[in-house]
Amino acid sequence: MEGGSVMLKYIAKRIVILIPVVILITMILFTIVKIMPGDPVRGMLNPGMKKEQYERAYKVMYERLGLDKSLFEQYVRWISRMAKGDFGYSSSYNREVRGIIGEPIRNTVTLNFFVIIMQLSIAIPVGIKCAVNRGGFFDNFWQVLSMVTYAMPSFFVALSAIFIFAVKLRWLPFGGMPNSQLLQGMDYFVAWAKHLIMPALTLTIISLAYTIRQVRNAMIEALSQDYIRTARSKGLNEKVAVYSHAFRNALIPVSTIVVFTIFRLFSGSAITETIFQWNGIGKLLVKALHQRDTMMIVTMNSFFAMLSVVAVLVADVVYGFVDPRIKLK
Amino acid sequence: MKKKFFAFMLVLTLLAMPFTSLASGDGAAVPAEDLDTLTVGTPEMNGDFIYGFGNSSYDRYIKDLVTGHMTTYATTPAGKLVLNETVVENLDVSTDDEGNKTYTYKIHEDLKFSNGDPITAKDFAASALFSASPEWEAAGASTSAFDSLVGYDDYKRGYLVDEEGLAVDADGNTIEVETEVPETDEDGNEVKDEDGNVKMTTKTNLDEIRDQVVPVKNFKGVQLIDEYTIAVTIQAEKLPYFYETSYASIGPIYMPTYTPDAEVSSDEENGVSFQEGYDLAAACVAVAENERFAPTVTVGPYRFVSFENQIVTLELNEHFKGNFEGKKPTIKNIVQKAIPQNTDVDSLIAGDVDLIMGVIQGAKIEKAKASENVNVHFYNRAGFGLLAFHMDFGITADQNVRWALAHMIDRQAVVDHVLEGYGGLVDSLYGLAQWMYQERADELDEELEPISLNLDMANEFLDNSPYRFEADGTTPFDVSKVTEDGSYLRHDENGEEMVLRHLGTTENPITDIIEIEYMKNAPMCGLKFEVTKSDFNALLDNYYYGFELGDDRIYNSFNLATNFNPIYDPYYSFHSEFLGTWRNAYQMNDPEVDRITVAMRELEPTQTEEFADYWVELMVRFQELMPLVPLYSNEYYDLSYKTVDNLNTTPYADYSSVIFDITKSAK
Repeated sequence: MEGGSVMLKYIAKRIVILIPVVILITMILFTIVKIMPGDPVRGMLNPGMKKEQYERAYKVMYERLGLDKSLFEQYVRWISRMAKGDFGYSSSYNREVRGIIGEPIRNTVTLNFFVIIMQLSIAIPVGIKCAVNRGGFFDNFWQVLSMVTYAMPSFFVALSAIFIFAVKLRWLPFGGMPNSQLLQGMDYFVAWAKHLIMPALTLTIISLAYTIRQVRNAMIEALSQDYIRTARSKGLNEKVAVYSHAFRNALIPVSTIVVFTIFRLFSGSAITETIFQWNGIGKLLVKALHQRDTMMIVTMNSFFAMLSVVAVLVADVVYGFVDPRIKLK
Repeated sequence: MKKKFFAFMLVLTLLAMPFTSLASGDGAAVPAEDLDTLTVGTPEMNGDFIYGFGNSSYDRYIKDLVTGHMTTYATTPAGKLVLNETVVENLDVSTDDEGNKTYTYKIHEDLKFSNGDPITAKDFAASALFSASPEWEAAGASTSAFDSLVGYDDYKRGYLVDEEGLAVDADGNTIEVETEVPETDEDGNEVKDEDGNVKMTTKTNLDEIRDQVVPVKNFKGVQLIDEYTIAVTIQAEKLPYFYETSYASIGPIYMPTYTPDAEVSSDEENGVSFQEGYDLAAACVAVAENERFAPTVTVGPYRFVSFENQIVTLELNEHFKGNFEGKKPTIKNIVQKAIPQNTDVDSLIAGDVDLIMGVIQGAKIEKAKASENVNVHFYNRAGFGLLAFHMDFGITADQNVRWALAHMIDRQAVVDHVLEGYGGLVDSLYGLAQWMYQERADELDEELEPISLNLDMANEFLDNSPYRFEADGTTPFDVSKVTEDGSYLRHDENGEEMVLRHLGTTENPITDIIEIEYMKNAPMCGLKFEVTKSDFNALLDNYYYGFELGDDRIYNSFNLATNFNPIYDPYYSFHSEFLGTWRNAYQMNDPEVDRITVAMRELEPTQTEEFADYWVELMVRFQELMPLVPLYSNEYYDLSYKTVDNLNTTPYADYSSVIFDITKSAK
């Protein structure tokens, strides 16, 4: 009971400390985006309009976007609206940002959910086995493979996957999303899974190497500790020594890595989503950057910044759980 | 329920992933083999599906399929405006004493909305009242519909004004509405003069005098004659106009959705209006926030079903009477979805989609031609790629310099290396598919000088330009001294170097080949060539709004492309009236061009021969002035899966216009 109260106090304290950090991040982001060259209103208007109509429409839209206000006033308006869940007006979609991001966020979360499951299901057992068989064939094989995949850019992995599975084997669609209107029940589910495989596979491959190496290193460190040597010398079963003792201790750095990997995946999926036309927030951000959609850019970047801030908080809290030596104050 | 389904699907998909690829290998039919559905692959859509919002071409396909084909005038696949006799039973055209021209349409009585409700003249009148209203603009829409009709200006403004544009009261007296306020810049900061005093400007504050102005809620230029007859009157000052029928074209809206609870009334003096006190602003906002993204009751050949995850689904509107030729589509469903553009032809070959449009890359076209699964359909573009100059800035302000620049590039290299042969050359501002070119090609070819790579001629032109000196501004430039490294440059009499500053887009092979050509050829003419590559928005900002940049202005040359509409009216792009605006992007100021562009538009719609005569004259004058170097005119390839037949697209008619002919059959 007391532990729970300490934890809540700790989280509350950290959140209070993070508020100015978040404000500072949003101020920097807002300023950078606003000083980018270009006029967002021009892209919103029909260039076929006559001069007077164009000027009138321009004025209406300029004021609607709040661009007639000073930069500071724009920021204050934006941040206070953000706090209420109003992310402003998208100049490339000519509508509220709030009405645009729901579906892409859901799609990105879905994609990354599978990626994380696949990544951890592979990385943890492989990392442990590599550490246990350090220098053996299995370890060397994964070391080389992880170096190769680590060096590969995501677009290369994505295009290779398209070439193999879509162009040559024709097992999977080239990209996009399934149609929920024309496909029903199991057909829709199968189509949905088929569309998911290649982007999920790409993101898994590019993030796998890092996680395997971190798990392996943490395990090697744990296995070299005196208590493991003692446990082994006492004749403790090897599996118990590895999984019950060494892995529990290796879990401490691994937990941090896992938390950060989860949050990094969201920002790292922009290229993959764009290549596969996966309707996620990464692709949305790329489009916003191309179109200089300031509100969308600043909202998306704030989202990613907030994720990082939350990641730090979560990592700290997780540390407190997995490492009994650490006390939360 | 939806959340539960979603969670269930997540878990199931995870479990199913390892074997779904096996499941797909069982020979299941590809989407293209579903004969009831046409699947079209496009780049990403924005999701604006009613007119008035957005510029996306891919959204426009959906707009046309769902809300198009029901106007009184239609565009044929050849790009000509014709009376839509499926909509109009009878047309009467008359001119009053002041020169205003009235088009009176008796519409067919069997026209229906997609829900089966009858379309009447009131729905057409409501369309004009809705689209031309200030409330619609305030809701974020941008449209110039009906702007040539009598009474438009008053209706659009919303209140009466005097001859000077100042608001008047009920007695016709001018109301002093303009007050002095501090001038502000784009960021809202006050602007100060040289002495540090805040600059003042006048501003109309309508809110202060709202109770004094005479509100205008009626549209004089639209008359409701009876249940199935409507008239629109074009202002005399807008006539004559070669495309005047475009001014007179009108279509219906579904009033229960667009203007719920509204009643349209009409009288001879005031035209049409909604009932007193009707809240049009609320109706416009509702349409902008809801109907715009998911049209409900519509008039086009298809009904909107959904747009999610960049996939639009449409289904046949069984109540659609037909296009201007009375044709109805036969394909039951249309799915338009965003697909990765790098692999669009592969998607087509694999049968993931039925149709992709506007392919111009040689490698993709070759791949499609080599596949047994693909039908290839192509046409010349009604437009061209160009190297555009600002005629008011830097070295390109001089005509001889512009001609010299035209002789410094091998345009055939662009066609051969970038378009891989799938295109042709034009020598002035036209596209090979324009009807004027097709009718006057021989005459034009005789009149125009072929533009070719010729460095001797380039130097000859430059010797007649201000840039004919060495660095001292007095010694004549000597061509024999030029070097490949570009160290010997031309200067003007003030010793200013001759520098062309070009702006092109990144990852654009046309920009790359321009860079290669000028880097190679410019030094041989004493020209220093500098190129910057940016994103497309930055290019448009500098190209259209360079005149606003003042001391920050850098570039005088740009590469981009343009298409010509069926309504070809060069007045707006080249007339000196638009100097200092984005419309006249070249900042062209030529009395001859002014004369010809005005003469062209003031022809009667029937004077096509005269129009073509003027057009030839304009093309010749354009070439003399050389505001741009035409680089290429592409061939556009519309590629379809083998099951698709009768894809008769043209430069003026994409798949949404020729959907009435398209069929699918098993192959």
